[in-house]
Amino acid sequence: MKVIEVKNLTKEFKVKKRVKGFFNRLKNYFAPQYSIIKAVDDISFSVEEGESLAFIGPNGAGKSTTIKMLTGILYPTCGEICVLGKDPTKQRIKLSYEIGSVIGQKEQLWIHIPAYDNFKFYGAIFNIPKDKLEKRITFLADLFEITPYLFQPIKSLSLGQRMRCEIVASLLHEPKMLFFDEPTIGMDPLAKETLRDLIKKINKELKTTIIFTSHDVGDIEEVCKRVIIINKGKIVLDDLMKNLKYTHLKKKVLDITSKEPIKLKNTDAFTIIKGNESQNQNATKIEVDMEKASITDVLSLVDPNNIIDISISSIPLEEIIKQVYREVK
Amino acid sequence: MNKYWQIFKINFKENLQSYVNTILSIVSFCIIIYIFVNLWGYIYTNGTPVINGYTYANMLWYLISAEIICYCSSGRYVVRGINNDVKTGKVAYTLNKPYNYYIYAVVSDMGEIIFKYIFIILAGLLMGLVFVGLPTFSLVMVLPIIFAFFLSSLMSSLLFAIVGLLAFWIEDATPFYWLVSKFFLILGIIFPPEFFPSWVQPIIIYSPVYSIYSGTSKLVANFSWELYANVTISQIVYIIIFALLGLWVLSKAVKKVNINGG
Repeated sequence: MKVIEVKNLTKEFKVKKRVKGFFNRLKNYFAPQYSIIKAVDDISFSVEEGESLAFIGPNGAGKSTTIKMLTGILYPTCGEICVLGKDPTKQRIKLSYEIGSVIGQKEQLWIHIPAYDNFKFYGAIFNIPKDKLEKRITFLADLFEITPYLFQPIKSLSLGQRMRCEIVASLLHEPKMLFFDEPTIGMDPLAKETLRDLIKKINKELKTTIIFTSHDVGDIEEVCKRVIIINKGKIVLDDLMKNLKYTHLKKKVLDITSKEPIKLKNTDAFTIIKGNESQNQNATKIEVDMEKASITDVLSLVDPNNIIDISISSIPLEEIIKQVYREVK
Repeated sequence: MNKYWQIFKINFKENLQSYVNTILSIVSFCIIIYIFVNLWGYIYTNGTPVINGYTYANMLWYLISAEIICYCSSGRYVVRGINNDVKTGKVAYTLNKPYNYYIYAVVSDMGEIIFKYIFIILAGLLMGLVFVGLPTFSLVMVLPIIFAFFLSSLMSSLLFAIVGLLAFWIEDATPFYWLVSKFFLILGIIFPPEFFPSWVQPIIIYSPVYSIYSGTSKLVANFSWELYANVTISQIVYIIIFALLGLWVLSKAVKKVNINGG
């Protein structure tokens, strides 16, 4: 069942033009000139129930704009949006009962007040009956392991603990869909890891559809099964994560440690990333295009007696995404 | 209604934590009143017992009441709150909840106002009793006066929330806040309406300044049931007008959201 359907969605922003020179600035102050920026440019996609979708792109690509149009915060310039059978622009309040959002480095909780009181507050906001709310708080507090600090003021919690509380607050009303906008921003690696596991848990155990935006490739790689890459307001890739990683760019990285420097030159099939002839190094890194040559083909060019160690790895997802961004530029 | 009651309660609770701010507010309030006591004391020492219908005691109770309203419901909190929501993009959270954002802003402000009233009214009463003694009204007038203060604050919140909503167009509504608050300061807080030229007085009496500041403060300085009826009716009329206007402005404002990073 489709929970999101977006057709030909466009969002334009009117931005004041910047001018140089004192008199031009003065003139622009009284008679400003505007330019139209297309933040989202005629995009269409749909999301199935229970999916975990990453919505990624470079800064200013239009990903947050799209997410905010899906939640009814921003009004599209044109196009159609249907989220859980509702039009977010006309039914924002109704839709808010069925969706939740977690935004990195922005708080929805009152910081001087304990998490428990915040949850009671949000329970009342979402009209959750008292006994049901108590059960829900207990269930989520156990699931997210926040019980030990449930009665501490939010301001006394670490960023990771706060973020868990933020997520619990967003889950109290049992939303069918949860939007995460760069939730791991500013977190240490351990807290990030824990949060990613929790988001996976939400998707798997609570069957909540996850829409995720982040610049951290690790987040996307671990949490999401499908990825939409958006650049300059347009969707440039919409594929499963495994396809993106293993099919979209058929490249492998070959790391060779050798007794003597390996003398190889770049060809169409492979590129020496590290340790080329002039560098005279014993560690060589080669990127192999698997559509043009196999690993064996490359290894056949190296003297086997010279090799101490070999490792073969896939291109990091980060590189793949960078590559997709570059292709669009 | 329950959700708005909860919004009021959580804002009230949040204020309970900031006791340093409360103490500083009380201190600064007392300093201002002390300045007024000395200033008007000097004016009244030249032998005139009544100026424009106000005795020294009437005048001080007027100023204390106007200052109480100004300290508690200046509108700064609600304008700053909406400004911050818009500037930081937090509006993505606040607009995305099942309540009306305008009413949410007003009720949040009322949570702060009622909390401040508890302390500032006590400080004002104490200052008044120490310097001029009890005002001339009986105990039956206490509840109507408290109700008038409540309506005045509600009216102020509704008005300043509309000013705050301008942030959806211009990102920072502070200049508009300053404009309105200075207008109030000059026409309603520092002097009663009778101290202005006769052609200005009708403007003040029919403006929101009177319903929020002058009228309510005059009730404490020199209570009459006729004045009470006038003030309360004007407050209710303005509350209805501002509430409807605020809801309309919000319906336009949400279409103007331009959040950072989207």
